[in-house]
Amino acid sequence: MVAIRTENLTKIYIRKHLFSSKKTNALENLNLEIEDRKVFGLLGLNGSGKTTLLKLLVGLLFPTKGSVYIFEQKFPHLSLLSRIGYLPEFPCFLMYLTASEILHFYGKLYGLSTKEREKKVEETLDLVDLKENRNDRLADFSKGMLERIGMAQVLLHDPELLLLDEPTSGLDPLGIKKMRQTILRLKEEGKTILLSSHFVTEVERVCDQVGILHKGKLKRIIKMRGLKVSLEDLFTETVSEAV
Amino acid sequence: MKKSISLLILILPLLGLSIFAQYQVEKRFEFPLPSIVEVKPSSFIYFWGSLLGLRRVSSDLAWIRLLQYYGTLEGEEEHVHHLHHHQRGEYEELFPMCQEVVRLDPYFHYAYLFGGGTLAFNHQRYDEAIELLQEGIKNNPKFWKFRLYIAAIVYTKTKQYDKVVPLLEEAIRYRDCPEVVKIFLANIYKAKGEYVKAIAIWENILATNRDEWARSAAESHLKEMEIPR
Amino acid sequence: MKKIFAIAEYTVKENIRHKVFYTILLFALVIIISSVLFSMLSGEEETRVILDIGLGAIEIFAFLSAIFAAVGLVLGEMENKSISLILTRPVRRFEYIWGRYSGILSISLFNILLMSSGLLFLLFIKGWSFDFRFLLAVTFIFLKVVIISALAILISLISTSPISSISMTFFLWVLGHVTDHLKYLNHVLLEEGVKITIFLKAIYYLLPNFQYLNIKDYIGYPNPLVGTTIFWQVAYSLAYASVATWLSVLVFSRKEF
Repeated sequence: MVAIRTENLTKIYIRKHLFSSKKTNALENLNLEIEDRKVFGLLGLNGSGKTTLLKLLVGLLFPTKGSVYIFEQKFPHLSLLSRIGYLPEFPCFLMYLTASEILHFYGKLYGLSTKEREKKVEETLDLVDLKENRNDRLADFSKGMLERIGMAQVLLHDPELLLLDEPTSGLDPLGIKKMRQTILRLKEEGKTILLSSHFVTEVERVCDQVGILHKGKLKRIIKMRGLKVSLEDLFTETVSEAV
Repeated sequence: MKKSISLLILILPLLGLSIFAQYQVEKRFEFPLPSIVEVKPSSFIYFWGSLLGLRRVSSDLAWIRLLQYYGTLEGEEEHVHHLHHHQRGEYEELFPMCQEVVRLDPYFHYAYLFGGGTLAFNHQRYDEAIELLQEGIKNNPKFWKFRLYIAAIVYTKTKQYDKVVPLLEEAIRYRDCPEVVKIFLANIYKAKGEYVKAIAIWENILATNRDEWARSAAESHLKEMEIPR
Repeated sequence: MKKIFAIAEYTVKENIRHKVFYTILLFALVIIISSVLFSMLSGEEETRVILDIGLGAIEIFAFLSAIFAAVGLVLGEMENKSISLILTRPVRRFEYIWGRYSGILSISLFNILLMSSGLLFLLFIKGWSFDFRFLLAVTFIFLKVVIISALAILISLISTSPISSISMTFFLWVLGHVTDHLKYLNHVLLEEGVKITIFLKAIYYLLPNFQYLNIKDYIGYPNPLVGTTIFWQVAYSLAYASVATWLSVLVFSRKEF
């Protein structure tokens, strides 16, 4: 099954000034197919359109042109959102809530019953090692703990498709290793994962397939299995070619 | 786009309902306060207070300013010693200040009673007192005490004290009777030699008034009358 | 409905954990209590002054806390992007707006009830005899807050900075109290020969009308409101507030984050 399919997906930002307007093509005619149960890495420089693509896939942005299908269903569709877990690049929370409260709140938005919610919240907190801090306010959390809460809110409702925007940026080496393990474990569980990154080595280690995005265009899709040359060389080559 | 149109279809009838309801309110109910622009308040505080929907508070502030200007008890004390000898020039602002208070809040009954009573019985400014009370009648046609006061003031003006007494005797029976009126009546009694009744009023003031000044004035009066008593 | 409730619930939680909330509430209670000081200067009209200052304080602080919640929390959430973790879940845009709005109203209701019971207590101590118009005045203060919170949300969705949202909301609050002057203006203009009656009428009906709802300012009026007028007042407030809120939904559903 195809987990994500985009057809001529285009996003143009229009910034209006007093007399003029400035257009930026963030994504141009993107055609992409990602199979389910695979880890797909989006590789690109800063500003290449990775975040834009992910936001289009969760409905935070609306496409200028083209369409998105998720699990063969036209997006946006409310019920699809319960099958997606999204981790923004800089997750920001309602700082006045405690760890368990915020997960309960998100759980309610999925329409989970109290019983289910309690079970899920406990499980997820256990998974990200925050069981001890469940009644602490997020305002008192360290950066690393907030990252873990970020992961917890992705996993809370057991989604089939995970969209992770720069999941390793801002993590310490130990955190990066743990994140890698989590991603591999989720893959084993049969999840589809789309992650964006500008760290070639990270992408290399976990992904089955890598797409190189440059200036809003999908330049190349690489299958990792049986790749003879180093991904880094391939990436720099593609990007400098485009310049 | 389709979504926006369906939202607009929802919004328009609601907008219609809000306009219709507003129209219905206006049809049934005439807004009972004069426009603040017409009132021309003396201070921008009252003006802004009214714009913020704090018109009664503005009127209260104007009222407190009036009381401080008049210095309630100072007036009474003077009155105690030189009955009927006040000069017209004194407290010239009293009348316009009263007018401002009751224009900010036309339903401030006590302000009319106090202003009318003070102007007439302490300062012999009968015409101003009557004008103020007539404004009160215009705004509060059902509040009959204003008519009672006007009658008493008219008789006082023509020095028909025999006719004043029963009117004021009625007035002082109510809780909202300003002290000025009680004192005036007490002084009429005293002038007529009806000391028992005068003493009763002073004693009533002594018993009910919380103000040190009014009480000491009453005490001095009682002391003064002890000899004829 | 469940989701609206969930969003309302966390709005309340967020609010009551904010220091601003307590500061506002505390300040209001201080003002209500200090109205006693003012009342000492007012001669025989003590309870009147306490009542007026008390009702005024209730309204101003309910207004401030509603503005704070609408502008501070909603705009804040959009600026710090924490909203993206809500909208990427199966929540419709209108559920978010109505949830936020009903949360804000619950807090305002709580504030108003708390402050007015404080005021009632004080009035009873001072020997005030209960008047049912007090309840009407308090209810109508709430209706005013119902309208202004809806407008505050709409404004913070349109404008870009908290300061401009707050000043716009404040501006509408003042305008809403002087809508009658538009009639006066129309009258003056007609005498001058300028005829823009329809235009002024449109503005008159589009602006929020707080003047009639401001019962606390004409609480002494001898012919108080009758049942049907009260009914239309309530209908007006609810209809107006839902127009503003659905407009917010309209704006919000086209917003990108």
